[in-house]
Order: sequence, then structure tokens, then C-alpha cells
Amino acid sequence: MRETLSRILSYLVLLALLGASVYAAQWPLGLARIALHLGLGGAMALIVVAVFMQLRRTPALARLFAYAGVLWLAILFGLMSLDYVYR
Amino acid sequence: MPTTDAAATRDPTVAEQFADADQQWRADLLGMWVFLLTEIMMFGGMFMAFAIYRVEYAEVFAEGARHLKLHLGVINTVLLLTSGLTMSFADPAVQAGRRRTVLLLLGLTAALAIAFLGLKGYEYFLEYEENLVPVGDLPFDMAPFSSDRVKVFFSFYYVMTGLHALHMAIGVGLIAAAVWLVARWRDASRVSRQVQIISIYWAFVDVVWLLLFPALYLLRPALGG
Repeated sequence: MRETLSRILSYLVLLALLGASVYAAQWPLGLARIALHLGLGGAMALIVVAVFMQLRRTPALARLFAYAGVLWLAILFGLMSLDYVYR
Repeated sequence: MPTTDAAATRDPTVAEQFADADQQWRADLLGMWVFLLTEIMMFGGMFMAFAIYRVEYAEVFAEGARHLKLHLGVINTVLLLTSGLTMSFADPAVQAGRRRTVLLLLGLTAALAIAFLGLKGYEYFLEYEENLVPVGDLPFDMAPFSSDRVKVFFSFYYVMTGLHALHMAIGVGLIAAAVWLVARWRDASRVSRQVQIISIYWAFVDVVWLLLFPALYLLRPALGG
């Protein structure tokens, strides 16, 4: 019952975040708005990973691969950004 | 003989290479996460390339985003989030042995996914009618922006959303396979493992869209401006 409630609440939060993100689209496009849209999208993605992918109930070894994905993404984005900025 | 005893006491639903059902479940989950790791790297590379061009051609990309159908993107996001919710209820229903509920949830998930794909196809059609498909000799026109840079935005848009749609179509196929397994219901533990793994894949498809949607549709000039 608690898990069911948690999923429904997460779904409602996701809809609210989607609404907030679309609402923000009427503001002038600048760095702050870009950060807001990407931040809200990232937050929604994290909620889906935590609740719908049940990351906390995933065995440790499988979870390690999930974290490894984040690490490799960070390496990819970090090195590519450095190359782009300093080239 | 010990081996005969072991064979006699062995759970027949566990594949022979595993010691027990728990190890098999862990291996199944690990396999899916290893696969998703490769997916993360594939989509990650695309997002990185998009980010660099978004910075480089900021004005043109924002204008390109303004030509996408935001309302259709929002409806599709709601459809996908709802399908994520229905799919997340499927595994607990399997574990509770509620076969008809599982079939209903899987059917709902597939229907929402097909609605998403249908709407996406309609959106592609509208863009085709507006000459916004940069393929071959098709006419391409986004006045007053007539440069090839606009084509770069739409190339990213079609490749990224197209690849996502392909993943959704594969997901619908997996859900159809799960419906077949649930309808037969020969081995509850196997059904549970399969539905759980498909749920994880489906949630990953959600995650990709939740990052694609703001990057492609929302980084546009102010609405109504």
C-alpha cells in the first residue's frame, strides 16, 4: 500500500514538475531559464529512476552499474567540454 | 549420490546455471543494467553533441525549437509518464498473483505507448507538411532562417526522437511478449522476473524522453513572445 501511494505521489509530482517547466517557457530565454528547464528535466528523470526503476531495491552489483553509467557520463561530458572550451 | 540428491531437491523453475532463484533474479537484473549502461553511453554521446551545437548555434536552435509542436510534446510526455505509472504497478500485481490485473496494466501501458507513437508520427507528418524535414531532395524552408544550421537542429531532432521512438516500439514488443507469458502463467517466478526487467527498461525509455523533451522543445524563445 505504501509503495502504491509512493508511486502515485511521484506521478503527481512528475506532472507538477512538467507543468512548472512548461509554464517557465513563457519567460525570456536566458541562461537561468535553460538551467531551470534542464534542472527540472533532470529532477524528473531522477524521480523515475528512484521510484519506477526501484534503484534502492536493486542488488548492489546491478546498482554499481547504474552508478557507473553516471560516472562514465560525467567523464564523457567533462572531457568533451574541456576539449570544446580549450580547443 | 550427492549430485542425485541435489538434482532431486532442485527448484525446477531455476535455470541449471544458477544456484537458486535469488541468484537468477540478481543475474537478470544485472544483465538489464549492463545493457542500460551501453544505452546511457549511446544517448549520452548524442546529448553531448547536441549540447555543443546548441551552444554554438544558440539563436538558430532556439528558433528551430519554436517550430516544434509544444502542445503535442506535452501530451506525449503525460502519456509516457502515465505509461510509466501503469507499468510500475504490473510487477507487484504479478507477485500478488493477480493475473487479470497484470494483463490490464500491461495492455494499458502498451495502449499509451502506441498513442505516443501515433502522436509522434502525426507530429512528423505536420513537420513534413511545413517543409521541415532535412532529408534528400525534400524542400526545406524555415523562413527567415534559411541556413544549413537549421537543418542541423532538425537532424538532431529526428535522430534523437526517432531513436527514442524505436526504443518505445521495442518496448511495446517486449510488453506483448510479457502479455503472452502472463496469459500462459506457467511459471510465476519467471513471469515476475520478466515483468520487472521490462519495467526497468520502460522506465529508462521514460528517462530518455524526460531529458529529450526540455532540450528539444523548451529551449525556445518566450512563449507568445
